[in-house]
Amino acid sequence: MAGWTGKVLRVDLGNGTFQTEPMDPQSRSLYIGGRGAGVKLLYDEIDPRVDPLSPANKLILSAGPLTGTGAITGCLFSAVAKSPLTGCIASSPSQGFFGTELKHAGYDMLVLEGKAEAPVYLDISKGKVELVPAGHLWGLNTFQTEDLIKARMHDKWKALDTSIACIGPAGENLCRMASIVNDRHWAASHSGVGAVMGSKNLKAIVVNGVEDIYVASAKPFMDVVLAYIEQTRAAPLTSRVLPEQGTAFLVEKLSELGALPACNFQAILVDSSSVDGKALRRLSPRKMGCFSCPIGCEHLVSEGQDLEVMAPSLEVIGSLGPGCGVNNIEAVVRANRACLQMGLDPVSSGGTIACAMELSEAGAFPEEEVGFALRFGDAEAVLKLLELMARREGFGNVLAEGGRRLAGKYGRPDLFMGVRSQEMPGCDPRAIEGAGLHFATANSGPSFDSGDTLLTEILGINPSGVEGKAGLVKEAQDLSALMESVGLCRKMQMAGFSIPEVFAMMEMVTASGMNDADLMKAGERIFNLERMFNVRAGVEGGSDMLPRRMLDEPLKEGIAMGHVSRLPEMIAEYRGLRGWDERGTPSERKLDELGLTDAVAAGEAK
Amino acid sequence: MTLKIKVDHSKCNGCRHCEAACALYHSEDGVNTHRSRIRVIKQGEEFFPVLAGPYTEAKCNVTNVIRIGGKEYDMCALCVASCPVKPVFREPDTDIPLKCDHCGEPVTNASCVKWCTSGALTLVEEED
Repeated sequence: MAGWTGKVLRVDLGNGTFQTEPMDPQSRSLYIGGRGAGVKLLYDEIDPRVDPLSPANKLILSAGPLTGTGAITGCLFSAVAKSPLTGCIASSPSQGFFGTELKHAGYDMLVLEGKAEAPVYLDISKGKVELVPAGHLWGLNTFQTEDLIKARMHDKWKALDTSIACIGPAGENLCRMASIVNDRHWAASHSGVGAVMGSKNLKAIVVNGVEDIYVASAKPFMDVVLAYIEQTRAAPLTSRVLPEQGTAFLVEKLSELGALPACNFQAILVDSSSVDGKALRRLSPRKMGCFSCPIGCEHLVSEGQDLEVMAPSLEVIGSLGPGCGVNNIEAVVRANRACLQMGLDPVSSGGTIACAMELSEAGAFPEEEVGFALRFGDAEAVLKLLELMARREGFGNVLAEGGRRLAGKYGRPDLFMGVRSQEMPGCDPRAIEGAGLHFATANSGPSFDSGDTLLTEILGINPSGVEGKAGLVKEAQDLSALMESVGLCRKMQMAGFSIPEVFAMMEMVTASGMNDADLMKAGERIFNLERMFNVRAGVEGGSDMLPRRMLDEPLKEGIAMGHVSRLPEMIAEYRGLRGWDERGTPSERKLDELGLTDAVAAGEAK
Repeated sequence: MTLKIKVDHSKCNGCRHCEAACALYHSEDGVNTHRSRIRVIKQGEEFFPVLAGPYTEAKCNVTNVIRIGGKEYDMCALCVASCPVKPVFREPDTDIPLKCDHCGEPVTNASCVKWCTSGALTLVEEED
């Protein structure tokens, strides 16, 4: 077998046992790997109505067949579980090196079940599987955790190669927006997957191995990869803009389009010069790349400290910056560092704090609730609240439940700016309609990861128009499901790559015989299976809805002034294209066409 | 004049695509960066591409950590040789030492240089 290792490691944390299983061949051809195979396994094995923080939930870390092969941007793995934030499926991708090292350790997928009695970490770095007591790590932040585990490895050469994914205090304290941080700077951020890991008393996963990842046609594969590298070098976006500014370059684009939300989506930021990619460049970032990426859009910045951390991306800047009224890139870098160390999702955390700020300014709760006056633009307050949130101390205990529960508690559910209980990233659906439709319909909550229409909308077609957006969003969502399943980063699309390149690399690596239509179909199948998980979890299609503010309050400035989201117009067309009924449930015919009828029936029979 | 591979570590972003290229080139059927003849060694948050030199039977007898500009570097890790105390640049299963061969002649074949987009690995002319 090439591409896939073909092996799944299942760990029962409750009784400390583990076993290696072959990866289901049907899962490989229909759901590919990574996100898709993870979703299929979760769908088959858990009741979607379980309490996401109970031992009955499972956490799956899953790499794709192209992860670690040298395929361009082939570094992705996904964390899949039932989300404690949304109650829906969570599939949260991450980059870096963990996915590659997991495959060298011999596995495509880790399935983590049950709950350990006391804190442990999982060590798969010595050619065997071990659960190690982690009492000494509990309470440490993610950087300290990684440093201590590596410092205690007897073999320094092994330590150099070892990759670690861990949770910080936020995951331990079951914050609903906790992330799983890997390789220090990357994270499976969205939907509270870190809280699921914390609920299992699992502090860290340590991987290292020397097993080969087979490639079916190595030499032709190298030729193709080299051609793509040349193409990456030739495209201005991937040769210059991204390596210089990262995705932060889009901050300026969004503000030009009147789409950069400020102060919990009450306003937009017209002048982004203090928080955009150029502002980031003034901090002299050093370039950093994920495994086998010819673009290298990540950066390290040190702000105020010697400690270098990952520079904030577009999403991070939007949420921790203008979203909280903080128009200062240095402050965003500091807040992002706190999120990485504490193991918090910057988007959900920033969105929750922004919601709290608006609640406070609207007088929804007395100042004593927080202990100090909470106002937009207070960067110090953001830092303090992140810390409190991760430790669930004081007002942080309320914030740790996420924006929807926060706004509900104080009787202003209308001030929560998110979908399915997950905070929207900083992109205003009133100015960029396709992004709004995607946020409303994404199965695992709004995020650019699961359907990136930004580039097409910003550079290609009328951002504030609705024509063609239903089709665009469907295609972007299916493509993203595919890319996260084969193990490629969505940013590869910025070099102009799409299905033909995914297909070519898949074929040369795996020789699986899937054509491009099969691959796109797999993406659609995965998206629909996720939707069925949500349906069975009791989430009705009615939650395919944006916050009222997006539909009722026209933008007050910028080039999209006067616009509201035209979601109701788009969603009917979208559901038609999807083959879904008016409640957002896939039709029998669609399930049959995707070969999902049996899988769904088997799930319902349980 | 001959071409040589020049390493400028200050440009390296640590993506390790060079490792994948090397491993793929020297294998018929797979990729395993642990078999690669170039490794990107991380020291703190800096990345150092190191090309495999010859295996040496000798073990160094000096302190290997040096301080430059307030940062510590493990010179043993950055050394091009594998030796009795250093398992890098050896086949993981057989322990056979590995050495960079520029992917054959001419040196313009070098897969790592072709795949490097950061500018850390380039070919330069050097007088004989």
